[in-house]
Amino acid sequence: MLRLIARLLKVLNSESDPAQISLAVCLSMIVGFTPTYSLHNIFILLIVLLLRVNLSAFILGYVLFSALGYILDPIFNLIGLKLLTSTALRGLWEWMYSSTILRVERFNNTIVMGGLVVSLLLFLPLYKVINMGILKYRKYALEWIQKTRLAKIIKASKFFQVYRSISRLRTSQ
Amino acid sequence: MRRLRPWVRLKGLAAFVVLLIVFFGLWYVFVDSFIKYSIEKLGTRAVGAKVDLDRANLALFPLGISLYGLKVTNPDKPMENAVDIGKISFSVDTPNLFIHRLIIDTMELENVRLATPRKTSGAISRHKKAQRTTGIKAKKATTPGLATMGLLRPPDIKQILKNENLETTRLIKSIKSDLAEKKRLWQQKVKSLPSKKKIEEYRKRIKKIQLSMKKGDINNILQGLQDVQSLKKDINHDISTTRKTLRDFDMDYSRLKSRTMELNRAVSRDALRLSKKYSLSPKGLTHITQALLGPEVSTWAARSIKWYKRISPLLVRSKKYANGTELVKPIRMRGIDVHFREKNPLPDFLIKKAALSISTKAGSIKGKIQDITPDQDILGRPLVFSFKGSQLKGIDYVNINGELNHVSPTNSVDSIKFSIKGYRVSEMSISHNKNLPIVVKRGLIDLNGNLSLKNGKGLEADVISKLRSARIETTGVRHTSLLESTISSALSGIQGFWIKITLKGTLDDYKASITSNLDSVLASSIRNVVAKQTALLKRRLYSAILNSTQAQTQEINGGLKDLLGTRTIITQRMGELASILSNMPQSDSNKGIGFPFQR
Repeated sequence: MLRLIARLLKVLNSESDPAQISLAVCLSMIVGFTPTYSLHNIFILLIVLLLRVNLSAFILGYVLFSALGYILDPIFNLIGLKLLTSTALRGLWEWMYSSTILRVERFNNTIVMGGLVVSLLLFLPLYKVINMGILKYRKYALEWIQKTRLAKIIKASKFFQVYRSISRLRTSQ
Repeated sequence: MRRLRPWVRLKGLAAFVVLLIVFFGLWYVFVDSFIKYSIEKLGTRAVGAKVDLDRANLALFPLGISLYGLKVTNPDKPMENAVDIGKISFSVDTPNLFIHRLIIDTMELENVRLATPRKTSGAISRHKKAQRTTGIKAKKATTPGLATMGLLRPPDIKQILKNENLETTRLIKSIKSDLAEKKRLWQQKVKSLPSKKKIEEYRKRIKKIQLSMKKGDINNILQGLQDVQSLKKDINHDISTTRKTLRDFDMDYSRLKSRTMELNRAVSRDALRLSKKYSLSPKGLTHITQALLGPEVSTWAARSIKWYKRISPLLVRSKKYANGTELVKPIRMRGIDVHFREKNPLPDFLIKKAALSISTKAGSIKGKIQDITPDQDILGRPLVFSFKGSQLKGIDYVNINGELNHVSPTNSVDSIKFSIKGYRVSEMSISHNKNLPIVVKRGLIDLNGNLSLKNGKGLEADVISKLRSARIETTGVRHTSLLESTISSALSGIQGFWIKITLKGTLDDYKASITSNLDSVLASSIRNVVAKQTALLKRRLYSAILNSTQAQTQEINGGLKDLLGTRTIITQRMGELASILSNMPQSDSNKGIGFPFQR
């Protein structure tokens, strides 16, 4: 876990594209908020591996959003149930229900539907917010943080040694 | 393309493929063990006793599963397998499996054996069993057995008196309380009678009048006459009050006395009622078969219902609906699957046809079960089954047909018809009653039955069994009562009989009635014996009740005697008052003026 956090910090502090981190976090939100063994999650895994998104951010995000998903599970269930039992949408659901591939996706499950809708709705706003946050962090906070006493303590810790070893490894590569 | 290059990681695609291969590889390696584990775990939970599977084998092309050595323990007999299936094989409809539907076209069950012995116990821990078997209870039918009908052994008088609410006891209690109340009342009433002091005062007043009138003064004489009149009036009033009190007392006493006399009649009534209850009534004489075979039949029915209750949840799923769409299994972190209308709806689990052959000692019985699913309302077809066996060893033929129809969940009907002809039996026990075990030494049985259950509640069953070319014995037990030996000898002469068993009610509360032509044969043999036993029981009960209430009856008689003391007091007072009145100076004008001093 320390290694993962160190890697994430390394990327945060580097010159790499903030979109790679933001996209990884947003994709991890979808996986975290919906049941792991869903068809769309295989597709997301493919995207994560195929695109140059940050894997550490994705894994950390997945852990965090899974925990959050567990807490929010009753809300997802409620949203999913509301949508799936809505008379206005019944035609759409019945059409989707007759499709084998969509049945494999288990869209008719309240947690899958609720979690997926919530994560898709939050996808773009979260992407923008994280992107902006990384940029602001690099511009204003990074230099200031490095000068604080806390940063100095951290630099003397085991965690920082891990972080440095990773940095060196990356440089040598 | 160049712009995309920093975003695309082609090695990632390879990693994805490797991940998928590893995942499916591991799945394939462990899937057999997983299937075995799942069947054993879920089966054990469903049955309430161990379910063992020797091995499972998954074939991919075409997708199919073979299960070997499936053994389901009988929960009531942990050292016995209720079912032992040599091999189960079936192929699975692959596209439907992707959408979590297990559709099996044909399932073959080979070498099915019932009631096979186990090497180790198949019992599970009490905690697990409690989880599974909660609510799976089958009440035995209400059929009076021999013991309750008092047929074989004279009933225990002490036990009867302990269990029964006697009219005699109630009457004694009531009389005792009445007596105590009257005692208290009469003690108070006696206090309100003219006291001895008052009577003495009357005497003093007479003396005073006499003294005053002796003086000879006319004024004194006139005053004395007035006083005599007034005194007479007072005494007469007291006499009349006392007389009325005596009358009231006599009424109370005679009422209490007659209630005490009623006690004897109550003892007789109790003895008669209980002797009728605890001996075979004329009506009971026509239901001897019920008494003899009732316990066996109700045990058999309770066992069948228990198994039905175990199996039925697997055949019918309870469902919830919201806005016309069906909801199932609300589980935390798994959500609810909402089911919608489909063009060609299929249930999540369906075995279109299961063919099985049951190996019995008599030979092989072939059977088929069609449309096994917990969602008959989706499939639109009921579960149908049939079993046939002919040219069996010791049985002419067996034919069993049935249907579990839950297509309309609110109007379900489960039914089964069976017919077994020429079943050769020997040494078959039809009554395990320890005082009168009935054994069919040899004979042929024809069995026909219809059973139906409407909406999971309304149970109706008719089973007719005919025994022919039979030899029946009640050997092995020394008959200690005349009744036992009478029944025994009557049964020995019978070569055949029929029995009709009818079950009616609900699964949890049903009544079994058994009729047979045995009833009339046995009834005529034992009628006289029963009459004698009933009379003897009545006499024994009468004296037992008398003995048990003797002390209390004596207490009541003593109380009545005490109460009579009150009557003596009242009559004494009345006598004293009357004596004063008779010795009074005469003042009646018609009789002339009487002066006490003239005496």
